[in-house]
Amino acid sequence: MGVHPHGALAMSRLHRAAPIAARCFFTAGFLALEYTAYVAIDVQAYQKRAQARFETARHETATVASPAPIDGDSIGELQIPRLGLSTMIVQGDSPANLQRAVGHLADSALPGKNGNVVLAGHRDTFFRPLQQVRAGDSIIVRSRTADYEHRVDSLAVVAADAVEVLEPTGGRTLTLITCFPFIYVGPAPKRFIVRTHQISARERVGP
Amino acid sequence: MINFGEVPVGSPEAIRAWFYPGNTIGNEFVYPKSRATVLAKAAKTAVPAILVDTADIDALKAAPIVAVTPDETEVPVAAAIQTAPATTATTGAAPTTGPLGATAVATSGTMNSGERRNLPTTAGNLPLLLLLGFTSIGIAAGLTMWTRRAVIREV
Repeated sequence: MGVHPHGALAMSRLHRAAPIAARCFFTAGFLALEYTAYVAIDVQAYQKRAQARFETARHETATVASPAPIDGDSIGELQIPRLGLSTMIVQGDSPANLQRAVGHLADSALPGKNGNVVLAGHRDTFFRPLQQVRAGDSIIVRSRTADYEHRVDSLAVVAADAVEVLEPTGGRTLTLITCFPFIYVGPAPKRFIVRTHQISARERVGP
Repeated sequence: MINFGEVPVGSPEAIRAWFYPGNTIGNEFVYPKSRATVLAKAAKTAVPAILVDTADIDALKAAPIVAVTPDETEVPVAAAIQTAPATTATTGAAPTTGPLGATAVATSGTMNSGERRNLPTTAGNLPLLLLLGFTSIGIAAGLTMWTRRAVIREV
């Protein structure tokens, strides 16, 4: 049985096009992976630099009221000892800030102040461990002038437009926000909320 | 928005702190320690005080600030000063020099969620990029293998 001449021609064209397509797919895939690796390395480097700057500032300004932070400033460090989570907190929740650290919503209270301190983080990087958090866990926020310990009160899954979780609570509370579900490709439809209250504050009295 | 301190009946209003519209960071007077001590006792509240006695602006900017309580003890300012506005928004006010020879210090406020329609977007594109990267390389490998088999078959 012979091969139809038109079929042979089509196969021949496919054979010629396949290597070119393969090279295109390989290049696109390589660039995507390279960019991912670059971002991961950049985040690590940023965290190290921000940590160093923060510790220096903490040492120098232990008893001085700090000026109001501006967007992108390192304002503290978030730690959840049981989950091994430790990350820097920067002022603002822009995509650029959230890519490199946990962001403090600029229109919420600052750590240690009366009101609702709201921190947002990516569920696939810094806040990935939050899927293991549970009520009663201890959360520590280190600012330039003090360390604040919080206790987790409740966990909730809310819609992306449930902005009422940002409202003041009448006390010193900390609210962590990340996307939900944790395993999801693309923008997740819901938000995972961790609500805590401050149980102690240890002020720094000198350098 | 201006916060007033408590005063006896018939006395003029005492400005305690002020917030520019849309800001959650406000300003509050910081007094020389001796003056702050008098005010703290009279107003029965903590008053920010500067620990150096100078009129040099540069020196004032770097001088340590404490809070003087009504019992004349000094405590860290973050532990005693909690001025919060009723309405809010973003940060921005750096320390400035106010009237009465006093320095202003930033304070914190609370959020007005009415200005936001959605909670922050907290999912990055990295997982998607990672998936696309591996998928593309997989397709490239598949095409390469298919081409080689076809060449071998022809030979």
